[in-house]
Parts: sequence; C-alpha cells; structure tokens
Amino acid sequence: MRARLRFSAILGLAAGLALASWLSAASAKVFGPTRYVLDNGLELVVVEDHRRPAVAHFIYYKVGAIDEQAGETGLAHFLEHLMFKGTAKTPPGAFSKAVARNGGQENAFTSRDMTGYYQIVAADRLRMVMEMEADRMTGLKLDEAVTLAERDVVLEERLSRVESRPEGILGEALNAALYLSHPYRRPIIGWRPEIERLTFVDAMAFYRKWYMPNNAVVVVAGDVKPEAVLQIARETYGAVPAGERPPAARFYEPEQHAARQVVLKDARVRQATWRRLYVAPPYRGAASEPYALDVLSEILGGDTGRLHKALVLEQKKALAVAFWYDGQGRDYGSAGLYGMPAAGVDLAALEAAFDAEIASILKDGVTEKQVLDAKQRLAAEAIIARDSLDGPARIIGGALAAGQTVEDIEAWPERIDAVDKAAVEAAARALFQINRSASGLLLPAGEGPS
Amino acid sequence: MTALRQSIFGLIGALGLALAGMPALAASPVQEVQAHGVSAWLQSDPAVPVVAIAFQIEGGAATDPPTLQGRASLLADLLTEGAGEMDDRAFKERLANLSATISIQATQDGISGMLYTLSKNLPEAADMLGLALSAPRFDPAALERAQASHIAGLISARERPSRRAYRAFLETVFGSHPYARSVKGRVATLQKITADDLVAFREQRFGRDRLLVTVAGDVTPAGMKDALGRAFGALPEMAPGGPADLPTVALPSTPIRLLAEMAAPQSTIVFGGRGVPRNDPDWRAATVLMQIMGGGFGTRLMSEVREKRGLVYGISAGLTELDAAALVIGSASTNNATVAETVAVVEAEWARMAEQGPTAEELADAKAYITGSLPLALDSTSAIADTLLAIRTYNLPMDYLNRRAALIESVTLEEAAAVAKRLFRPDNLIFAVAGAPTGLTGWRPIAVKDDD
Repeated sequence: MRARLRFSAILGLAAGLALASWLSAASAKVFGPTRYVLDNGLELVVVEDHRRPAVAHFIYYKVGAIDEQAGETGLAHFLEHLMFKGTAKTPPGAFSKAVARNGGQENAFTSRDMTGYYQIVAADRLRMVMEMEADRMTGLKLDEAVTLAERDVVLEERLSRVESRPEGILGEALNAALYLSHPYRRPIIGWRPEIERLTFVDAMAFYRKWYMPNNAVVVVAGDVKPEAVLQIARETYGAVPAGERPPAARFYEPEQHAARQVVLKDARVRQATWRRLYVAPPYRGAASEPYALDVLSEILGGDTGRLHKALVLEQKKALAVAFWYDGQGRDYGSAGLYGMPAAGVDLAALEAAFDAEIASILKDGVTEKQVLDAKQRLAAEAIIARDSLDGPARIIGGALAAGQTVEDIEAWPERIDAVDKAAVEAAARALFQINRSASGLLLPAGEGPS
Repeated sequence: MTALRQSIFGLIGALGLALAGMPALAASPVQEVQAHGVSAWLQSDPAVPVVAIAFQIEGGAATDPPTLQGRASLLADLLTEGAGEMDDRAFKERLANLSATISIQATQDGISGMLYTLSKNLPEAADMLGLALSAPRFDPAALERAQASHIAGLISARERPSRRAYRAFLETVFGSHPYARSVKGRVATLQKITADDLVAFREQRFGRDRLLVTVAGDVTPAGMKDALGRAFGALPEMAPGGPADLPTVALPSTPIRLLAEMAAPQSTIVFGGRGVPRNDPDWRAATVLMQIMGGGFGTRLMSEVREKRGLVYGISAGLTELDAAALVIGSASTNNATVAETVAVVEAEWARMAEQGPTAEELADAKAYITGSLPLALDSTSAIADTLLAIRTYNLPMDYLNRRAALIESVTLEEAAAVAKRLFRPDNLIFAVAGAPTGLTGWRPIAVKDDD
C-alpha cells in the first residue's frame, strides 16, 4: 500500500547497520557507493549490485511532517498521495501503469523529515522511471475533484492506522507528550480536523515550496554502472531547473523537567501493555554517542537481551519486552521501551521491574563481554544489509535526507568498533533520564489508575 | 489470513505477483543436491556471504484434534526454545553469536521454516537447526511461556474487526473441515496442551520422507551436503504417522452474507469464494483474471473503490491455495457508513467481469506484469529459497520458473472470458463484515464469541 513508512521502520534498517569488529576497520566498506551532485543541486548516489538484471530507483525529498505549518498537519503525507495523480505529460495513474506493465513495483512513504518515492524495475527500464519521476518533480497537475476523493482515502487510512487501533491512539498521544514544542510531536498522517480541511491549493503551495532538484536525493541500486546512471540523470533530472529552497528550519525542544504519563482505557483493549519513550541524540553530526546507543540496544533488547532475561525469563513479570533506539532524525532521535505483562502482573509492577533493570545498568554498568558480543552481532547486520536490492537504497537515501553523509554510512564499521564499555555506560546515563521521557499505559476499560 | 497458508505463493497471489521467466536465476541454475537421504534444491550464488535454507514438513494445524487446537503452532514456537544440552537462553545466545536466525511457523498444511546465516557459520548454524528439529526440549517453563504468549495474542486480537471478519468468513466457507479452525488455537485448548502432546506430534510427523528443502546463497553443493546431514540427518527416514491426509473441502455454493456486529469506527469486509487449484487447466487464466480484478494499483477494485470513490485505503483480492482447498479471498476496510456502498461496488465488479470478461488491454497488461515481476521479486537470498520451496510444495518441476512465462502468455481473451464466468459467478461471492456498519439488511448475524 502507498503509505508513510513509520519512522522507526526506516530507522530499523539504518540501525541495523552497525558494524564488524572482525572486518578490518580500515578497509571495511558497507555499500561502496558513488556520489555525484548535478549542476541543479540534485544529489545522486549509485550502488552497484549485479546479482540480477534489476534496479531500485529511490527519490527522497528533504521535506516531511516537520515542515508543515501550524494547522496543516498531514499535508506532507497528503501531497505524497497526490503525487500519483498525473502531470501535463502523464495522465493520472499512467506512471503506475507503466511501472506495472514492466512487472515493476512502486510505492511511496512519508516520515517526519522526508518524503520518498520508489520503483523497482528491470535495469533497462531505469531511464523510463527517471524520466517520469523527473516530470512529476515540478509537473504535477491537480484538480479539486481528484484531491477531495484522495482526501477521503487518507481519512480511511487514518481510521485504519490510528482510530481503529487503541495502540495507535495511545501512540499518537504519547508522541505528542514526548515533545513539548518540537514539531515531531505531530502525527505524520495529521490530526483529523486538519486533514479534513486540507485543500488542493494547500497541497500545490507545499509542493511548489519544497519539490525541486536541490532539495532531493536520488539513490539507484542494482545492475548499473555509476557513469551510465549519471548520464541518464543529467538527461532527465538535469533538465529540471533548481528552485529557491527555503532555508532548512531547525527546531529546538526546551529542557524537559517533568516526566509525563499518558493513559488510555478502552473497551477494545483486552491485553494491557506499557511503553515509554525518551528523547535521544540523532546520528546526524555525531560520531560516537548514537553508535554506543546501537550497542546498548543490542545488549538490552531482543530475545537475548538483558531485559528479556530479567523480566521474561527470571522474574516472569512480562510475556514480551523490547528496547529500541532510532537515531535517524534531522533534530532528535528517540528510544523506547515496551512490555506486555504476564497474567496477574499490573502495569505499575511491570514498570517498576523495567526501572530496576535500568537502575542496575546505571549503577553496575555493562560487562566487557556484553559489549563485545553485541558488536559482533551488529557486524553481521552490515553484511546482511547488502542481501537485498532495495535495502541499500533505503538506508542511504534515508540517512542522506536526514542530514547524514555517505561517509557516515561507510564509517559505520569503524564507529561501532570504536564503542567501548565506558561509551555504552555514558550513553545509557545520558539517555535514561525520567524527566526526558513519556510513559504510556494501555488498559482495558475499568482497569488501572483512575 | 493467519489461518491460511502464507506460503510465498499465497503472498504472491495476494500481492498480484506471479512466477515468470527468470533471468535472475539464469546465471546459476537450480540443481538438486542429495545427501543423508534428503534432497535439496540449491541455487548457489557467492555474491553475498549468506545462506538461506527453507524447509517444510508435511502435516500442520489441520491435523490438530479439536481438543488440541494450537498444538502445531505451539510446537513451531518451542522448537527454538531450547534443544539438546541448551536451555532456551543458551540456545538463543548461541544462535545470536553465530549471527544466525531460525524462524519456524505452523500453517494449516505443515511446519515450515528458514535458517538464515552468514555462510562462514553454516556448519554450526545447521547443527542448531538439527537440534531444533530432532532434539527439542519442551522445558516446562518454556512451554508455559509459549502458552501464555499464544493466549495473550488471541485475547489481544478479540476486538479487532479484521480478525472477526476473517474468522467468520473461514468458519463459514470451511464448515466442519479442520481448515475452519484457527492455526493459533483457542484459549481453552492451548491451556490443555502438554509437552507429551508436542513430543507425540513431532515423533509422528517429522521424517525425511515428509520433508522438502530448498537453499540459496553462498554455499557449494559439497558444503550443502554436509549441512543437510547436520540439519536433517537425525530425522527418521520415515515419519511414523504417514501422510497428513485431509478430507476434501466442500465449499458453499450460495452467496452468503455474514455480519459480526461489534463496536468499531471502521468495518472490515472479507469476501471471496471457490478458487481454482493449481492443477486445474483454468488456473493460468484465473491467475491473470485475479491480477486484473484485485492485484494492486490500477486494477479494477482499486480503481473503482479507492481511486474513483475514495471509499478505502486499500482493497485487494487473489487466489489462495491450501493442500485440500482453493479459494479466492479479498479484503478491505471502510468506515461504517460506507460499508454498503463498498459491498455494492465489489458485487458490481464481480458481475461485470463475469458478464463481459476483461478487455484485450487489461489482459495484455496483466500478463506483462505477471511475467515481468517475478525476477524483481527474487531480490534476496531468503526470497529465492522461499520461492523454490513453494515450487516444490506444489509438486512443480525444477525448471518451472522458466516455463511460467509461456504458460501465462498462452491465456487468450476467449479463455479468460470463459473462466471469468466460472470464477466471478454471483453465487461464488461470500461476504463477511465485522464492525458496526449501517445499511446492511438481511445479513446473517454471527454471534461474536469470546472463547477463541
């Protein structure tokens, strides 16, 4: 389905990139990409993968929900839907039809910081999709009827993703509680009353403001040669004139002094669950702390992690637990804890068990062996990241659109390798501050704190 | 869909993909490797240092007695929760330190799984799979956790319209057949399953004569022979339980309308009926027709229901095949006020296709999509192993991937029109809706049970 990809999903891929202590740090390369910048400012990255005669073509615009004005939440995502409605040259649906007629796959996604479109096609169809993608960069044609029908589609999408799911409703409230001021507090899909008021005039204004070659990153991965891709890119994207890109807005979250708690009791909930989010540093512009958080998440999370051992296996307080770190934001990253209590355990007891395990990390630290094992496991993920056609393009495009560099991605092995016990412990101390967190309780109607 | 086999063919059907000519595999042909009484299909490619081994053992949830529903699914979870000398934690740590994963699931028709590992660790990782399949422990604490986790999953899903709609649809079309029951079991039966039940199931069902194996990635035939012995060599030559024979399904031939009323802002609609099995001569045309009807963007259902009317975020329909039944199944979610309109549009599209068949352009586009999409879908080592396993599961020949394009291309407009009359008959369209829809009159109420 054409959809926003949840930020953590994008992140999941990038976070999996941490690297190999046993790879020679100096020579280790993750993807070995080739990078160009066209005269109009469009950034192009090519990754060669000759295992099959296919190619993945991704374009990321550096615009997302963060760039919406107050009162127009959901506009970036709405525009993503409307980008399939045709141009002067291409009737509505014709781009999709051309991709399908060639056996291709296509989709799009919107996140807090970026909007992406992609096609996976036979390698000899690259020019076709680059031509059509370049055409809709500035050639979109909308009318009111098409826009209104698509707005109904987005409202159905909101019903499916959020309003029909108590965990979706809680997640939205929790996210809004985590950020006091930063626009990351907005739901990417938008608040319903604001979606209902979006117009095609709003969409076109947003489109003209942000969609231009000098605000885009194109990544091509597959059975292609970099120079040949550069040539096609010059002949397609290169013909689109650079626009006047608004200055990149940066937003700052104030110091947070109060821990927040959000509670949803809903008759549709049959199984209580608990989660907590923390504001965390982003990968962007950093060479150590985010990588220490990757190692920390390997030590704490997963079914071999400390949380699973303590809460699920030993104390039997939870049926499932999770910890994750998501560093792919322009301004901030985030980290999260999740737990499903065992029968007879209330959420307060579960939360106390999480807090006790965190306290033990902060007091006694982690072991050298835990750090070494985690680094070794993360190393394999960089190799596995190469085992798909589109994975490398998603990782590179997502990182570049969030302000990282090709060098950051290729330096993953060294940066993970450089993480030591002290770095993991320092990152944990910086992260686990209850005043910079928001906790969420999902409960059946009539249960828990009143 | 959890109750239906989600083999790669099931997924391909749902996504509107299909198998086609395969330049992607041409560079390295599929070969058969035999060792230790096991035959594996291997597509060897050293480009990325990983290996994926896919396998299926015949006999799944449909063989669970009514009193032990969920047995196969519990077994699948517990195979990797401690085996040999290792308890659950030791087993998982060992796997993680090998950078290997083993995932095993029950379907209605079998126990299927995949080992994915760095190729340098293949021997040790294959040993771990061997322990999981031949020496699982079923420790009491692990069994208790798996039961609790299954039960929590069932309870969590109770108020989801999508689960209610699928359950209502499957229980009605399958009637008294075991396929009507959920693979995941029921709260009451899960609580009663013992370690002895799981041991008995494994001993009856697991044998090299009931096993299919396919492999892709950075491994030579010699390396694979060694790994086959490690992973499967300890299984008995013959499964004592013999074949998992299931009764044939008698699917209904009346246009049933089912309504499970529950509080929800958006209803889920599940629809479909009798499908066309793979060994039926009409299967080629049915595959092309389902792509035209419900395969994704630009297809009839998406155009009429989403693009033109804005009624849904997504709608799709496709062929699904189990060992003893073939179905057409589709689904969509829409707000309660537009359920009746959505149902009416689907009915009208079914009737239009039955009466007029597809256009020549639709037929050509669908064939082009189906034949062109498979090489692109084989985009990872695990996807290749999974696809080869699906081919073996359906008893198709090793070179099927190369034949598939010609089969699809051979469908004529006349043939498609004739098969459309069979597939899209108005009496072959059953609807199940769960939610609080307005404007549905004369629908059969389905009591929302709280015991599954």
